[in-house]
Amino acid sequence: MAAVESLSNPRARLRLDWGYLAYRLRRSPLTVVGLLMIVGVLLAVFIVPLFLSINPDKIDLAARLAAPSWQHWFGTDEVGRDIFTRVLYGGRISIGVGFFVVFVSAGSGVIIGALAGVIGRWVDTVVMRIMDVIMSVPSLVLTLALAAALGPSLWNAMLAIALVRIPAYVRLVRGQTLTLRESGYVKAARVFGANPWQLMRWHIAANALPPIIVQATLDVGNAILMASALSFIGLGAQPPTAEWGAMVATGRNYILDQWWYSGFPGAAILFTAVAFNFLGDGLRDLIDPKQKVR
Amino acid sequence: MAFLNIVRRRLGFLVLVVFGVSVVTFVISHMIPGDPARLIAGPHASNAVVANIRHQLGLDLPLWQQYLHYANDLLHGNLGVSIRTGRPVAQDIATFLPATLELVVVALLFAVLAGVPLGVASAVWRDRPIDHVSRALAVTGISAPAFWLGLILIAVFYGQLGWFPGGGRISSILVPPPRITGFYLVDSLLEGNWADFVSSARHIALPAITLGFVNIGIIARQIRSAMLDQLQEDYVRTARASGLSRARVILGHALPNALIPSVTVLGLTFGDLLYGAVLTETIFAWPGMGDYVVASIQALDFPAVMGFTIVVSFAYVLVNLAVDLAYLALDPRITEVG
Repeated sequence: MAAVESLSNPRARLRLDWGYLAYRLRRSPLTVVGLLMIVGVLLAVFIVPLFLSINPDKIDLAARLAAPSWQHWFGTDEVGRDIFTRVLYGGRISIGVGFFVVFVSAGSGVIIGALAGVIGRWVDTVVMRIMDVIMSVPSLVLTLALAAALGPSLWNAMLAIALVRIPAYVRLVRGQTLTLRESGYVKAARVFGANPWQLMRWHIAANALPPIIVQATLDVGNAILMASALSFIGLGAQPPTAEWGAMVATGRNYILDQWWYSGFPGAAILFTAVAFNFLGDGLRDLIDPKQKVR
Repeated sequence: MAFLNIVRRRLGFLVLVVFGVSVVTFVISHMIPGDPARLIAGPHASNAVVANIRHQLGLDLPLWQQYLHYANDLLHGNLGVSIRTGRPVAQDIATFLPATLELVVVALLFAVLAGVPLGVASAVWRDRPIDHVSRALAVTGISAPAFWLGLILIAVFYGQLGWFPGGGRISSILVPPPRITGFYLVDSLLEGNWADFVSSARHIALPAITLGFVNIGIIARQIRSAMLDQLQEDYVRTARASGLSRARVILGHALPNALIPSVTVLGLTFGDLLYGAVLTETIFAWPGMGDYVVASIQALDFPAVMGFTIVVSFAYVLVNLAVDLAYLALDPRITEVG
């Protein structure tokens, strides 16, 4: 509660009521679990490889398709590359994609949504109708069509995923803007001569932030899933790049005898997506005290 | 009257959406790197031949005229000709649609049969272990990569245990039932062919579980939240006070009321399943639209991909409209649908 209230005063620094936060977190253990899982994944993917001397692309034909063992925790693939190392390095791509997609879609969505809300009139109508149309096409189908048209590459897959996710943020921010625009202190600021840009920066951005953070957290997981799905059907990262979806796709040919090949990269996707969804879900309850803890 | 007004407004929106989708697919088709005429003519064709094909395809016209031709074709149900199969896209989609619908319906049934009891249980035993299980399941469901889940199921239930077949729609040694509805499960029963029915059921089990798993948790959470609302109502307390058993009140009184607001979620689920089928079908070699579109993507067959996009978007909007109307019909108090 305290954390939220301090947000409504844009100039005040975010002060956390640690006692209250601890109380809320105790009531939702899954949030903490999600956070810990994310920290674990980030450490494993970005820090651990720095201390490993194994190369993810190192070929060892003598150890082809070896089962998990002390030497190769997750086994090896068809040319003897260590799957554990490849899962770690692949995570850099998959998680990087997740953050990039959210950064681009949330960034542009927030700007478009806030402008539509602040300017209003026909700009608002046109923008929102366009967003309605985009949102009425199932997102996976639109992403597929876009990615297919742009051509198979990881970069194009990221663009397609990001583009399709923009409307969700536009809608969110515009809704917030419309409510905030009518609130007393924003009207007061306008009377005192603040221009739309200042209104957006001081008041609307600060108040619309919490729901955007929730949406963005959930979206990192979704974007990772979507990117790996595109890679799986050949529209994202191309083999031999170590990327989780692409690894599951190649491992598919060996699924009946060498389950670890597809098994571990897929489990990594599941683990990471669960982590972001736990955290996003928990944050939503945390920042919205009106919604009772059910 | 309110009902008719909503229908009218939603149909208006439908027109806007169909127009929007057609513009989107048109724009996407023109973003494709490479020249479709060159693709059709082949790598060794002379420039004159390519120019001729461009002219035949109308690619030398101004963009807005090309769009008018395209929109006109769409209105006549003409989705173009597939480069890969050489057949009209509309015909291809009509061939593959029943298999997808059958899979989606069975998956939806599975998700509802598993999700509703779970939701009721987690509302009744709120904050108890079953509630946590249902919450964890909901998150796992939306986080699980469907393509991976399918592979794991194949590895375990086909590879290790041999309980279910690993792909396809019916055993290859059987003759598929004659096409009446296009649903093998229904057609084989209509024909009285028990062997076909059993084989189809065994083939659809794993893909339907893979596809439906994502939505069990979503349905359970929705039912739980609606049930919690209902259980606080006065009528529930009155019913309990007049001596009805707990089970009777929960299942006979609260549940039917909780199901009404959940209809919307079912509609959304149906839409999710429709395009979730794309990945599931590839894994299980299920001969439906998803399998078709992935093969088309890999063959750079854009007319087929765009045709699929249009058909699915249209179906999605129609399903949502149907759900909203069902919602209105079920609860006469509602005069406005968000």
